[in-house]
Amino acid sequence: MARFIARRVVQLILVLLSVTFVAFGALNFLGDPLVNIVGPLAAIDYCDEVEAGLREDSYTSINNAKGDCEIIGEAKADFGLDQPVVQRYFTWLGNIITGDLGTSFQTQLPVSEIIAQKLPKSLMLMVMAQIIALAVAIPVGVYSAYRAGRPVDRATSVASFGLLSIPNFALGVIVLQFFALRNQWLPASFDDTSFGTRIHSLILPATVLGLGIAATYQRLLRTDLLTTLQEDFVHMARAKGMTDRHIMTRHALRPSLFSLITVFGVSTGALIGGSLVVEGIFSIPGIGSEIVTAVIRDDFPVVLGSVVVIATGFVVINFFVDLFYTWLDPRVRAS
Amino acid sequence: MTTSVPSTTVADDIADDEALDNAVKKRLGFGFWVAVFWIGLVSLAALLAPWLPIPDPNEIANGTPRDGILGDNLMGTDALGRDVFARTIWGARISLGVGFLGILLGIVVGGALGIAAGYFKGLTDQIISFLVFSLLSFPSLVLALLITASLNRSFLTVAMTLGIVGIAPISRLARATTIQFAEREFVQAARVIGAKSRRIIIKELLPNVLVPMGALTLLGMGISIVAEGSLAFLGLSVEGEAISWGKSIVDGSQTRDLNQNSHVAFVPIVAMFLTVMALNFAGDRIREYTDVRETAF
Amino acid sequence: MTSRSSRTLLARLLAALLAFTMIAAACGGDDDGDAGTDAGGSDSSAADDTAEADDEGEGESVAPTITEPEPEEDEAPPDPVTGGVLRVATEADGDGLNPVANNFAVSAYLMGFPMFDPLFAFDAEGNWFPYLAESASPVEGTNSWQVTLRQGVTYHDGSEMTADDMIAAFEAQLADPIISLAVAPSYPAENRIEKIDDYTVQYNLLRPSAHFPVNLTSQLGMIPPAAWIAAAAEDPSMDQMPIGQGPFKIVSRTQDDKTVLERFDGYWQGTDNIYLDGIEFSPITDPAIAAERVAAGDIDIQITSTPDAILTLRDSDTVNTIENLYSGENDIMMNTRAAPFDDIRARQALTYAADRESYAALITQGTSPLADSMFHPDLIWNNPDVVQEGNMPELAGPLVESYCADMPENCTDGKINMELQYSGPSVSQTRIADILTAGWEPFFNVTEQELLQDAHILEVAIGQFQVVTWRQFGAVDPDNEVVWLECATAEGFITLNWVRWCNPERDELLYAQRATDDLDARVEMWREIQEEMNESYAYIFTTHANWTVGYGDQVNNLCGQTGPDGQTMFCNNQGRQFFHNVWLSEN
Repeated sequence: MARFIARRVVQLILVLLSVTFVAFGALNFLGDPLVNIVGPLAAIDYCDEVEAGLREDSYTSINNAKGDCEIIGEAKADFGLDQPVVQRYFTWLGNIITGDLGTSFQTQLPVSEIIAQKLPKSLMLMVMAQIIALAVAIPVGVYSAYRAGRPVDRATSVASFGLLSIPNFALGVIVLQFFALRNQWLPASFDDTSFGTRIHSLILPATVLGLGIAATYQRLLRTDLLTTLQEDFVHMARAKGMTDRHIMTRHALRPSLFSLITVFGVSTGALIGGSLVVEGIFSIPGIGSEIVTAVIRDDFPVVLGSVVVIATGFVVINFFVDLFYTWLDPRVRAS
Repeated sequence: MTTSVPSTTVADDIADDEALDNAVKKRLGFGFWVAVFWIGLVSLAALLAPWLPIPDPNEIANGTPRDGILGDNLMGTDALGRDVFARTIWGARISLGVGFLGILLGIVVGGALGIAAGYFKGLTDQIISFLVFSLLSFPSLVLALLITASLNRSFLTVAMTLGIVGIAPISRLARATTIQFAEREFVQAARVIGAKSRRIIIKELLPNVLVPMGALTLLGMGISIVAEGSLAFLGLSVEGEAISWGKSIVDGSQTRDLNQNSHVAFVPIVAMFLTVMALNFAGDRIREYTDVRETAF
Repeated sequence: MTSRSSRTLLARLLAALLAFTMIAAACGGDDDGDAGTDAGGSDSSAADDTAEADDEGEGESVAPTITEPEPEEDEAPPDPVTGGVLRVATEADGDGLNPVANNFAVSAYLMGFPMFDPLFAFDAEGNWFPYLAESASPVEGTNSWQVTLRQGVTYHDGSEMTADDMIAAFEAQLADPIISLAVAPSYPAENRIEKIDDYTVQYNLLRPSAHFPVNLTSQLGMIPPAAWIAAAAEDPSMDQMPIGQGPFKIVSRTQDDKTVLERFDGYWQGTDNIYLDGIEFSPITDPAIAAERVAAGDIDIQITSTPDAILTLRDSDTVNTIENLYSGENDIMMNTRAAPFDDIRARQALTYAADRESYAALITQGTSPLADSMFHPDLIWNNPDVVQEGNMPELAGPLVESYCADMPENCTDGKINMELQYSGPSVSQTRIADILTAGWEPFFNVTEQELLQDAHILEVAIGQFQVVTWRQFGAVDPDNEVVWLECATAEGFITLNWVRWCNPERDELLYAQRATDDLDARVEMWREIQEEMNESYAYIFTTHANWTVGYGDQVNNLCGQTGPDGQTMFCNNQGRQFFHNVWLSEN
């Protein structure tokens, strides 16, 4: 088992490296990294002349105590733009590991601080969404497998498909409009006053996020339960005289939960993506909305830092899910 | 639908083909064909949009602004008085187009990677699997966001972005299917005869792999269409005057518009919803039809 | 100002440009067209009202007074209640709150004014009066002005405000190479500012100005302590937690999240008239949602210029509005130094084919009227004979033909090639672009270019654009508009004269109106200037801008703010609402 874990940890590290590389690469390979860092200043083509003293530097950037070419020069030095990409990547990676995620272009605040403020809210949202998803999916999934083929089952099937098919931004906008604005049943945006108000104001967005995932869980659970119900040991249990409900909950559910666990990790990815949109709709100052805002105002360090944190979190979660799944199912350990 | 057939796949033994055929045909069901019909209808409308007798979707003040459904315009007008019905049909061109092109990229690249990994195994498999896992480990919308924010936002870029996001799951399916089939007798036989790998892949494996991938194609298209909507919501979908469902939904989702003339958002929402649902449903039916055991999409 | 490490560009650039002009702190138009920017757009119309009065602020009113709605019943006004926290919705967060280093858009002013009393302010008639300053007077026989500070003004950190702080602030502003573009021309190379005594400063201007103090009513008149200015220059993150001398001091500020202020007990005017315990600012990027929340009672007050939000505020029974229609003009600007719009035929064609009426109907939705010039018809400066042309496409055709015959390289298929630039992502900006493009389509091949706001502003500043949607002007005293119109600022790497149109005859008029106090003469000059602008076809005015303060019934005394000597202050100056003497009813 220890060797297994060790191997997995190595794989985890390798994946983290490649994920960070993807993040780094996306911003550095697609488009000119200089443009990403200094924006339109990158179009300035006379910096050689300025350096040679043939002309005066211009001062268009906000940091107007420094000339444009001075800024460009500094950016190149700071971000090592004269070095090969791989070397740049490792420098940047080194910074990340020591916790230095740079500072925001907009406010000069450290990115790690910004993330530390915003991440807990997103985490709270996602945890609540998962809880809601499971709370809805498990009973409904069990019941629809129990009553397989009957109208109830068909109805929930259609409902599940429906929830899977509606985009979460559409659902979010509709829910916000109806439940929070037109009828003020729940808050329209995040309320940070106390733990209670935080939970209360996250109910709507967590539901929006959770319902889509609940549909996936429910369908998966149902399929798996039905398969399990075909197995011999269930026939045996029935022959022995056990009630259906007993069989369902005590014998059939446990193995079927395995499928849920495998999907749990993947669904976190869907949650993260969904949070980008839902946080915006419900004015939640979490990391999802921060990424979107930072991308739009070209705040390169914030974007990169947030993306790395999110991607790393995602990988780590999947790692633990994998580990847990393996620990539960001895058959898989062998592979 | 109460039974799910575990682990058997179509064409397992030649003898059972017919019996299975019947069973399968029954399972596709009426719903499947309704879904296919809808998808076909929308695709046709999208393709023929320039020749349909509908108003110019970009014509400002074609009707009274914010006019409701079944007024002078079939599905009403938006905030600028443009015909919503026409914009929805033209929007299908981009939304479906981006979805289709994206998933095509995903299939070509993902399929190739997956088949190579599954067939050649060994180091090839390890490397490809690792790359795919890394890509899969990256939250997809965030990746899409990064790409469209860094590059331009042309039709091709958005399609490519959605495709890249689809490569990982598709290649995993292709790999799983390939592994399954590579052990089969007919493939072993071909190897023994001395047939080249490429021939085996193309003639024996590909047809069998493509069928379950067909299911994933439909599902993937649905996901791509929704993803385009999310990108539009973040302001990063196709730029300029191009119309897409996502952009129409965003335009109609301004708070005041939702309150007073919600049809502007709801018509494209319903169009997207029905189409994605049809794709999901059809894809799901096909998946049960082929029933390859692989992890959820 | 040495170590401001590489922050990005432009809202700052522009902000600095707009906000820091000593002489001509005019309305900046960096919020293009309509302020309906959703995702993260910062509305930066840094405007400065000027009164046309001199000395101690007496003169005719240049505009109707802005007041809050009268209560319906004829009751005696209730007594103020002490306590409560005012919850304010702002449209965008802004970069920082350092008046000598950050661009102050409306959101920043809303947060800044409670913390920084200005040296001078405007009364309800639009005349300036000394606020933090005790007095200001020109020096006989020179072009200088002396400003005397009140004594006993304490900063939030306990130190006393002196002339040293005023000088430090001035130097910081002037050390900024961008700001100096607009400021330096008004001062000699040396000895621009002198310390007369611990509380008196002398500004030595190059040219005579009858209204110098009006330049110190905006962020230029907001003075942090000298020591803090120096420290913040080293550590720019301090810009988020400024030290001022206003009735409220900062408690906390989170990026893209709340800013919280609380009452400052050491306030120099005493806290008898400061009723609020604190103020809380929440950036809500969708103004329409903020409006709904004001209507629901979730938020106390919103300041917005977005038509959707204004309509929602107006519709609601529980919301009152104070609207200011003199807050600037939405327009379309052309770069007159670059093809194709260096040719008047192209500019005229663009004007004739511009669909202003659809813009007014569909974008502004009746929240403000069509604009014919840079002045609202209510203002005395307005020239009623000047009419903005548009919606006359039949006149555009022959001009385009003529142009394309001469310059076929700029045309394709008989239509002029052009690029329309705007900032995004923003639903309203996209709609505006769609409307305009549709109107121009028969005569122009329009390429739309949507840029992020920072990049958009930069490209306009360095003249890399052909046509943009913009917002500009709106100063109560048009003296502040000079910097956007003069030849001097049409040259160079950064041009504050965005359209780069230089007319020496117009310059004469601009400087002449500055040199005189005679209102009638000035009005006449400005009427001529408007005619010239109309004939140059560099701007296409669409509608006036409307800054609206929307608030629930529980908010009181928005327009009853008083100055130190009891003057009633100007209410809702382009959205920069004061909160000093506001109080909340008990609920």
